[in-house]
Amino acid sequence: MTETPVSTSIYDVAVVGGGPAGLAAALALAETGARTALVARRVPYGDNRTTALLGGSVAFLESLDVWRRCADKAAALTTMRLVDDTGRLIRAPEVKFVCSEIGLETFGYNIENRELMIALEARAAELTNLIRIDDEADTVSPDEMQVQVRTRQGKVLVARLIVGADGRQSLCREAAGISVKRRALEQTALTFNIAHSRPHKNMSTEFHTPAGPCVFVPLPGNRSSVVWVNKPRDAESLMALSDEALSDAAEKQSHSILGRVQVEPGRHTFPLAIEQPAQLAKNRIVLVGEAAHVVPPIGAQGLNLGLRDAGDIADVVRDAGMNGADIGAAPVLARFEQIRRSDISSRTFAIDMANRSLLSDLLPMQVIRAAGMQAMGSIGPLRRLAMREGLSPSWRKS
Amino acid sequence: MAMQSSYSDASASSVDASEVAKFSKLSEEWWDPRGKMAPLHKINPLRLTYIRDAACRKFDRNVRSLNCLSGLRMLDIGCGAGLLCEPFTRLGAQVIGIDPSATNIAAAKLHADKGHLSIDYRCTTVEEMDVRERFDIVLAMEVIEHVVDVGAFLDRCASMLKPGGLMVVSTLNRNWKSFALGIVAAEYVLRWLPRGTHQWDKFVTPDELAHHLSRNKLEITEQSGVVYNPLGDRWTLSSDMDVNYMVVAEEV
Repeated sequence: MTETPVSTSIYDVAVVGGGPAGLAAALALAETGARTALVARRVPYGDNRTTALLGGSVAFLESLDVWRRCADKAAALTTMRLVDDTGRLIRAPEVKFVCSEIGLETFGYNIENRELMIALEARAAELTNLIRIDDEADTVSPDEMQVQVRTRQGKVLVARLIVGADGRQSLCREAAGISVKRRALEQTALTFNIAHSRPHKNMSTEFHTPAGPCVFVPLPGNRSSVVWVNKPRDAESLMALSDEALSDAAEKQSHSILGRVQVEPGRHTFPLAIEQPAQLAKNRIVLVGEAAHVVPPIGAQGLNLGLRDAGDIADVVRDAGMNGADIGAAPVLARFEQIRRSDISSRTFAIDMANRSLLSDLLPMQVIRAAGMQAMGSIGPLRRLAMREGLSPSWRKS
Repeated sequence: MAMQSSYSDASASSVDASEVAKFSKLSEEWWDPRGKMAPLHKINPLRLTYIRDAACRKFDRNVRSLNCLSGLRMLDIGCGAGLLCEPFTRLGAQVIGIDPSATNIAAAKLHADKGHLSIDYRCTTVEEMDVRERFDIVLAMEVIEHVVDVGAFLDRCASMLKPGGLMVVSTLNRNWKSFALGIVAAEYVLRWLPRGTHQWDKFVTPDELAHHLSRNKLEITEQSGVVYNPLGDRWTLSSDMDVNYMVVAEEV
């Protein structure tokens, strides 16, 4: 009855892209019982970025039977400190968020993405209804009833629904005919990890400099990950420094709160941008992870959003699929769009505003920012609200 | 609902191009949730989940699984253009849809082909089917009120059940209320259905249905009324079986 060539395999859903958001989406979808394909080259994670898993992210990874495989590689975050290091006339006071203040044992856990990837891959290998196609997608062609994916090596597969987890240059997004609004930010993030002589006491510290935030986030032991946002030119100069010189620069920027700093091998630069696609779902293709949202690395929102994308597409697919509905049809896509849209837009807006307020040389902006920080620092309920909302949106069920 | 009687028949065997265009249009009409078949689309999710849940209980399946009916052989009598056949196929069932109207079967085949769904559609009646065919699940949704001899029809349906099989029947009760709502309201006031779709004296009471089933060693294990809520514009299950109702029958 099917008119596809014999060599073609038909899947319920195909996930294109094997980063952490794509892998998590593939796992969650396979758990629903959907026949799932994951189209992604199996390669070691390429950089040394880390993720602070907040809110429901850890619970979600637990539900996927992933967390127990990497929990010992993650450091708990119990205190988050914001320090105004703008050196401007009107400076904000220091604000400390302590998790026990909102009745939590921890805000979350910081983990190197590569460790998280190893755990996700290990679980993926166990699921029999998750088929790995160890290749890159070359073309993605949606039609009314299904989507065809052709890989670089010429393998063809067909699925009712495509989950585009293929990052900033998303092929799936282009294939769906979804345009993207991109704003480059004239800032570059330098990421590297450090060992330090003094313990971090599970406290992350975010220094707000005039060029952007510089964050030290705990890793297990006397180690931390650093995301240092700078003007592109300055970021490149830091990138070019010797290990010793960068260690000194990082220690100076950290005001020596972690004692002596020694950078570990490997560093990467990421130009900052805000990207918002016009839609999150169209033509049997839904977008997750950075294909659906690119935000600056402020407040640890990026991959937490990506994991919520993954959990939500699996929920939407299960709800439709258990009624025998076509899981790639318009009502399913509309539901995903409706669920994800407000979460992604509100996060993007908040991060954008936080970042802009740092960069502003306008005195009124500095006053507003300082007043805001002062209010959060001194008014308990406001601070607690900010903490809770930072973890996950209050309107979410979990 | 008797959608199968609302279109004239045509020969299924010799299909020319203009016929294909006609079936294609008919198929679109059937499957348009806001089109002529809107009432059927409204009630369909309720019927679907009722049957699915009963089957999952009977065959010990996880109702939240995306292929909860895998491997089960299912007969849908009076399938129309396949509004139940398609979702049950996606849930893993091996579905055989029969309908006496060749145009309905042509429309159903066209739609299933477009969606790459493998469904065995046949333009036939239960009486004409091979007496050796057996099914795990037999559906007779809104058909018994249209057959000439309800008893003989149900005997035939029951004989096609595998041992331990499941039958689901939906129909209209026969009383003053079903006359008022099922015929006067549905056909004349709301015009959900073409006039003359139903003859009230052919409606079947739950007792009559139970009697026919028990003769075939089938017992009604579940029954529910289906009522329309005009405020929410939706159908819900109800203990009120005065008009529309569904029953699940299993071997005693």
